[in-house]
Amino acid sequence: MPGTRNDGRGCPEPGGGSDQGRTPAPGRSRGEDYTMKYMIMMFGGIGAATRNRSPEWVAGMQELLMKLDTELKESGECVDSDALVDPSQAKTVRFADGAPVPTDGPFAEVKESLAGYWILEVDEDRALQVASQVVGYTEYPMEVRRIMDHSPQQ
Amino acid sequence: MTVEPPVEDLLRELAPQVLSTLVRRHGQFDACEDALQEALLAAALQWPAEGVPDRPRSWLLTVAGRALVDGWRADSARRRREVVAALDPAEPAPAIDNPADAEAAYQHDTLALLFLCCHPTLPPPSQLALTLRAVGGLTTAQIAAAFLVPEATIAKRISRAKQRIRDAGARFQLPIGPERDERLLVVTQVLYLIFNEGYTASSGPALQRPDLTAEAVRLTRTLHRLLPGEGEVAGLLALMLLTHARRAARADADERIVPLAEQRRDRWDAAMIAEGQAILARTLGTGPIGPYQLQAAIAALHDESPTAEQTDWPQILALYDILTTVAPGPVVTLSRAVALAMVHGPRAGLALLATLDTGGRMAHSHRLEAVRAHLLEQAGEIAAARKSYLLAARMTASLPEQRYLTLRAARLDRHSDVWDQ
Repeated sequence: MPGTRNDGRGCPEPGGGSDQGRTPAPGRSRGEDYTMKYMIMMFGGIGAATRNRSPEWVAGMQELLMKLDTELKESGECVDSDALVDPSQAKTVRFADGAPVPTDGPFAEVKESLAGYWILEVDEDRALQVASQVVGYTEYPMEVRRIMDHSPQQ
Repeated sequence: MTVEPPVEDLLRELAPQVLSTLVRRHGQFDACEDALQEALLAAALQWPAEGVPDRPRSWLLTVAGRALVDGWRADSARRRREVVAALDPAEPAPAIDNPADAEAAYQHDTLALLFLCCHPTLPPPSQLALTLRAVGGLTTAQIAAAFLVPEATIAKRISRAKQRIRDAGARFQLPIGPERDERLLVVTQVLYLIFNEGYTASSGPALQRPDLTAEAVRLTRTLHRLLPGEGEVAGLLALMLLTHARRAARADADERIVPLAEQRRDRWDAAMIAEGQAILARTLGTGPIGPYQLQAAIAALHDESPTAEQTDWPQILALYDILTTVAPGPVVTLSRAVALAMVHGPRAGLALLATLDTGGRMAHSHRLEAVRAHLLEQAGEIAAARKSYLLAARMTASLPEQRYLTLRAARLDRHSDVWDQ
């Protein structure tokens, strides 16, 4: 069942708000109306995901990402999204010999470096569903992590 | 609230004229610019409902003048007396009897304004933003959208630019003599940058930003009208038209890049090509040939060829040979390498590219790798071509370009019988 958005109406029973019987997130059981944001992260550099893939597959991947981005923006779920230049173009400022030193290259290995992100205003189920849509095609992991609230929780 | 297109167009045309009149009278470019914005806002609100006034320029001058006075009133009583004496809001702007004289005065002022906005003390992003705002009449929001930066960033950039002009003591008058030629060069560079930014967006998801290119063309047309004798201004306008004419064919239905050799030429704007060719024909030979005229001539050779196969590459190569002596640089070398390859084969082009490898960061761009990849592919070096396409894809900050290069690399895989790393 697709994830439902918290529309703030009524107080879901603990364990009854979702079909999988999990305990709702803190604050939710009191019916507080707040919005959750999740970042969905894509990793890797150019060439890795497309290695040994046909041009049709590569074109299909590009179209999937573009189409999904458009859909998420049109549905209003997408707050922000962007692509980063290839990790090989990054610089990392490290601390060495008592001073900050810029060095060429990304912080993590190229294959684990951030390539792009979506920030979606959805619940976790929906965020995972979106990520699954991409991973189903690319067969490469994507991370889903909640973005912190900046207001205090009671 | 949306402004009807005719009103908006009229306001954009009048804005630089009104601004330059205000600045000529009062100096204080920044205060005048703020006052103009208020007047433009008032016009945008009132004219669609009440109709455009008989003398719209005077209307704007009057309202902007009042806004200036109100602003200075807040400063000091002494200044107020001075200003009110100089500018009575009840008095309409003096009408110049001869419309031709009035027009000439406004044209002169617009030119001075353009030079002011391209003042050498300003860094290029500020020159661009200020030109688009003061001469182009774009709103801060429109400029921000064009450059994909927040509106507040552009607002700060513009106010800092106005401050710098004030601090530099820049005069609102046309430079003369050798200074004028130098300053004109800066103006054309600013216009070219605006055009280029719209034509091949250097970053971000969109391949082209048509508003910027259209604006660059419009401003350059104005400059050409004001300085008809300047060959390089004509050359720049011709170059823009001959390039802009291809816009409909540069991307396919899915916003994918289509390289020049594969473009559908029936989608090129024939009227714009004809106009560019006419301007070029009029200007060539009237003085020493400059880089914009040369680039326009090259663009014209592409545009006049009915198919990619019929392109006069030897002639294009000859023009690049001249351009290399007139305005050398890595970008020119790169383009010349393409032409060289078309005339003397891909290996000749690749040899020329190799000379750029020692040129440092400026020379080793993603464009260099992309051209190298293309030539390697033509030379049958499939594994090396694939490597270069992927390297170019890694280096570019343009998403459409990255997609294109990645796809080209993938297409090579199919034909590769070498299992490379």
